[in-house]
Order: sequence, then C-alpha cells, then structure tokens
Amino acid sequence: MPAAFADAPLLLDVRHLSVDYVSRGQPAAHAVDDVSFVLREGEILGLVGESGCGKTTLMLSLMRLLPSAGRIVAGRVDLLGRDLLSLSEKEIADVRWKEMAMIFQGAMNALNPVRTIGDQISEVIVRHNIAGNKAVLDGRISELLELVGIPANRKDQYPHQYSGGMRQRAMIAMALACAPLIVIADEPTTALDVMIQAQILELLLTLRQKLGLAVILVTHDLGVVAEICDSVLVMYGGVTAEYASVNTIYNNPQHPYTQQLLDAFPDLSNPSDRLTSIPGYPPRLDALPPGCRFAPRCSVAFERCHHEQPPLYQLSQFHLASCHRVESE
Amino acid sequence: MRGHRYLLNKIGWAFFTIVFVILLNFFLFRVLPGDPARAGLRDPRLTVEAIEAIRARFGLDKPVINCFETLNPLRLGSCRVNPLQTQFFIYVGNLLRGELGISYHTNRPVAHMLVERLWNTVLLVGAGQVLSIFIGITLGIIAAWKARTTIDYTALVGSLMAWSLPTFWLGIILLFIGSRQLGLPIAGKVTPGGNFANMWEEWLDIGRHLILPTLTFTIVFVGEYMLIMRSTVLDVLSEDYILTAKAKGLSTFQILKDHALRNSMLPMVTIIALNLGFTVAGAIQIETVFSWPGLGQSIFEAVGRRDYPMLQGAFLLIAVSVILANLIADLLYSYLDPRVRAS
Repeated sequence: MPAAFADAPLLLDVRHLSVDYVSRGQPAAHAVDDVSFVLREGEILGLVGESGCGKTTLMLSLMRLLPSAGRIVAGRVDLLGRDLLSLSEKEIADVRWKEMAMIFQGAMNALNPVRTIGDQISEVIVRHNIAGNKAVLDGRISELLELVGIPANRKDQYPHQYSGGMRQRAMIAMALACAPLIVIADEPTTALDVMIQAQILELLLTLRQKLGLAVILVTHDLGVVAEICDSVLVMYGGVTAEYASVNTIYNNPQHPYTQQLLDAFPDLSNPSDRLTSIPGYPPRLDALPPGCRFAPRCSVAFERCHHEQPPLYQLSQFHLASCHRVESE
Repeated sequence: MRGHRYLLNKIGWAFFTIVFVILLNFFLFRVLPGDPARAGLRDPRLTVEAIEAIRARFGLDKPVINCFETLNPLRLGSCRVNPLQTQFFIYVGNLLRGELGISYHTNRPVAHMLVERLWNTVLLVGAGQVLSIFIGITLGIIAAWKARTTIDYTALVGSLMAWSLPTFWLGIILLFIGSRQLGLPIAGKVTPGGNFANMWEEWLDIGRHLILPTLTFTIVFVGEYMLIMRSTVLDVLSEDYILTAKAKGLSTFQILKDHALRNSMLPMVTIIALNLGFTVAGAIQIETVFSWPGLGQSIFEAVGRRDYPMLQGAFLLIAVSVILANLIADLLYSYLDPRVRAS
C-alpha cells in the first residue's frame, strides 16, 4: 500500500475472485482466476494487461454486469464491508451507479444515440432519487456538465452533436451524477487523441482531489498508469501477475511479464533504444497451460514453471508477484 | 431550419412520385386492349350510332393525347386537335376536381364506389393492423429479452408458422371453425335484411362480422412483426448503451421501454408504413374469402369485368396511399432518430 493511502478508509475489498465463461458443450473458460485487490478512498488503481487477459471481465463482475455466460464461481466483493455477491438483484441494482459507477470505453456507443445527454444524465439521478424536484434536477445536470467542462446549454443536444472528447466527458459527468464512491474507468481514453486523452486524465485527477473519488483505471497504456495511478495490478491470462505501488512496478518489477511489458513501452529518455515486443500470444482462457500461464512466452522460464502454477508471493508489505523465480531469490 | 429542409425535401419527392404514377397509370390502361364499345361489337343488335354513343359517354371518341401521325411535335399532322380536348388532359382535369371517371360496369362514378369500399377496408385493415402491430411488437420484445429460452422458441416457431400459412387457406379454416363452433356470421358486413333498433345494435352486428376476417388478418401479420421486432431488439440489446443502462441500475422494464424500444422501432416504422400502404388495397384474399365489401373485393371483381376506370382509380388510390405511408414513415423516422434530422 502506498504510504499516502495506508490510513485512508477501505472502500472495496476484492478477495479470491474467480469468473468463468460457460457455454454448452465446451470447457469453461477461466477468465478471472483468484484475483484479490483493495481500493481505498481517493486511490487510483491501474489495471493493466493485454487484450483478453480478463480486465474488463473483472470490472464487470464487480458490478455484477457479466453477460449471461459469465459466472462468478468463487470469491467475495466487499464494498464498505457489504458483500455485493450475496445481494439480491434488486439490492445490487440500487448499488449500481449510486456507489460504483462505470465509464465505458468508446462513449459513442455507451450513450444512447436517440436521447439527449441531459436526459440520459437525469434518468440516473431520478432512478436513485437524488434530486427532489425538477429545478434541483436541472441545476444538478448543469452543474455536472460544467464540472467536466461542457457548457450547460448543450445538455439538450444528442451524442452525435458532441465531439469524441466531449462525449467521453459527458460520460464522466454521468458517472458522477449520483456522487459515487468509486468510478470504474474501462479504457476511457482509448479512442481519443493524445491532447484529449491528457484532458480526460487531468479531469480524473481534479475530480479525485475535489470529490475524494476512488478510481479503477483499466488500460493497456503504461504511460497513463505512470502519470496518474497510485497502485498497479498487472494481470496476465486471468491471474494476478504483479500487484504493487506504481513506484515499485516501474522501479523494481519482479514478474518477467511486467518487466517485458515495460520494455515494450517507449522510453523518452532513451529514444535510441529499440522497442522490444513479447513473442507469442496470450493463452486461450479455455485451454490454459498447466504451469505458469506466462511460461510459454517467458524468456527466463525453467522446468518448474511449465508444470506448477506459481502462487502469489509477498515480497514486501505491498508488493505481490506470482513467479517461481521470486521465491528462489 | 435543417428540419424544414428535410421535410420539404421529402414532401417534394412524394409529390413527384405521385405525378409519375398518374402518368404511368393513365397510359397503362390506354395500352391495354379492349373497351366497352368493342365488347359490344360482338352483339349484332348494336347499331353503329349506339356504339359511337357509348364511346362518347366514356370519352373514348377523343384522341389519347394526339393523332400520332408524326412523332415531331411541331408537325402534328392533319388531325391537329386542341390538346385540352385529348383524353389525357380531360383525365388530369377531372382528377383535379376529384373525379376518377365512370365505371364501365355500374355506370357510376368510380370515386363514389371507391370511397364506399375504402371505409370498409380501413375498418378491417385498421383493426387487423392495430392488433397485429401491438401483439407482434410485444411478443418480439419478450422473445428477445428471453432469447434462447422455451418462451422464445415457442414464440419463434409460432410466428414462423403463422407467417407461412397461405392467407386464403387460413381464412377458410377459420371460417369453417368460426361458423360451426362459434356461430359467427360467415360473409358480408351486416346481416342482410337486418332490422336494427338503434345504431349500437347495428355496430354490434358489424363487429360480429368483423371478428373472423380481422382474426385472419392479425394471424397473417403478427408473425412478420414479431420476427422482425425480435431480431431488431436482439441487435439493440447487444449495444453498449444497454450495458450502460444496466450499470445505471435501471430495471429490466425501464431498459426495454426507455432504451431498447425506441431504437428498435426504427426498422419497424418502415415495415409498418409499407404494409399499411399496401393493405389499403385491401387484403384481397381475405375480403374475397369472407365476402367483405372492401376495396380488395371490388378490385378482384373489376379485374374479371375489365372495368378499366375502376381499376385505374383503385391503382391510383393504392399508389398514393403507399407513397403517403412512406412519407409518414420518413417523418416519423426523423422524430424517432435525431441523427436523421441532422444529415
């Protein structure tokens, strides 16, 4: 735990969460396997990994929004001490957006094209009974839009009349509508150019300061992680590869996957370095290798890695890595 | 401002299409062989004067548009006529006054005959369409929400069967069951020679006559609406904004009503408008099976009697109603989807 957050109140405590995708006549795909992490007030957690490593599945399962084939097979998700997985459908619906909101990737499709922005924001405020009357509601919508830098008079416009960056900011305004404790941002900047990307990240940081928001940022952009995150969870093939503070991840990565991921990222201080890539592909989740999931692509794998899955080793107070090499050191 | 241009553009196109249909419709029936006078030629008792009188009565003594001795419009040939005295311009003039000519068969104005029949058809088609749209859309949404369950498969198989039933066959079967088991009237609009104490009783009688044809109509159309609605809703439900709606904590009903329904109605509006336009023509098969005195039945009869003015009037009515229905669909579309207004 980064020092600044060790004392902050614990919001979310995810323990040993496993999610399978089941379909008839096929082996279950283990999309998320035994993942644990915590989130404290005001903390920004980066969730990093290649496409298909289970990031989005993990986030959807926190709000119990998995598609019908998805099954949470083990684990707990405690939000302020309340186990979300044991709530009824109706109770979890009350939690959604009010306590945990989500910013989806690609706000073009995440907003309904035939309804105005203001209408879509007001809908969720009305759903959770935040505003008493029409005037308060209108005031709240204007306030939210201005908070993210959108003139309030554009609330009666439709998503297609907004630019890409504005849509994403409108999505953030909508996420903040019920003053949630946690915002899950699933690749919020993927489809945007770098200038807009910087604006959106700046906005998230400001909001964290103003509102004490905790954010889970799902991304595969390590630059973004270095810039704004406090702690980082690196996932590979559905399991935790490494979980530590952002400083530890960048300065003392222990898992070979983390190391190679960092090597694959351009380093501005050494522009002459050639970029390296990790050979091979991530494993298929319905046909996982018997040992360490990264072993087939790992340059330093040894015998044991290929038939024994490494547990998560605790390296220091807040540094976990799942690699056999860590143990031998 | 943009909205106005869209509106004017659509109305303009509808107008041009109607003009084109009028032209085509006129010449189509002039190209077809046969007229009442020629039919009379086979009767040896008919004098030449009588034949000429018949031709004059229906305006067939005048040239269609000119004498066509030459195709050069500047050299019209010897039989130059006043263009306003040709059949085409007389037809257009009459059309502007709301007259559609005189039926060869009944000797009555076609416009009057069409209007009489039109209301009966609107009654039947209206009742059938409202029922099948309502049931079809509801079933489609339920089936899509319960996709790949027993409910879905039952609705799917039922709709496919209903859609593929031959209309006349279904009509005859329902006629048989309805009249034998339920004692419903089998033909016509009111009981012949019926004496009704008040209007209420007369309408009740019409209602009883309406049950079987309406039921046939509903079954025939409900399958189509259900299948199309189901697949559109399934598409919409896989959109990201539905996941957003779920994440917002909205209930299933709210998601379907506020996010899925309006977006899924877009393709439905087009199909409903097309169907409405065509069914003003009358469900020809249904009206024939149930002897319902609607447009469809009279078109069917007019074909047998080679009653060209009647057919010409009916065709024009059908074409105009299809064009108007499309225009309404376009306008509804721009109301339902703000993106259409913008482009």
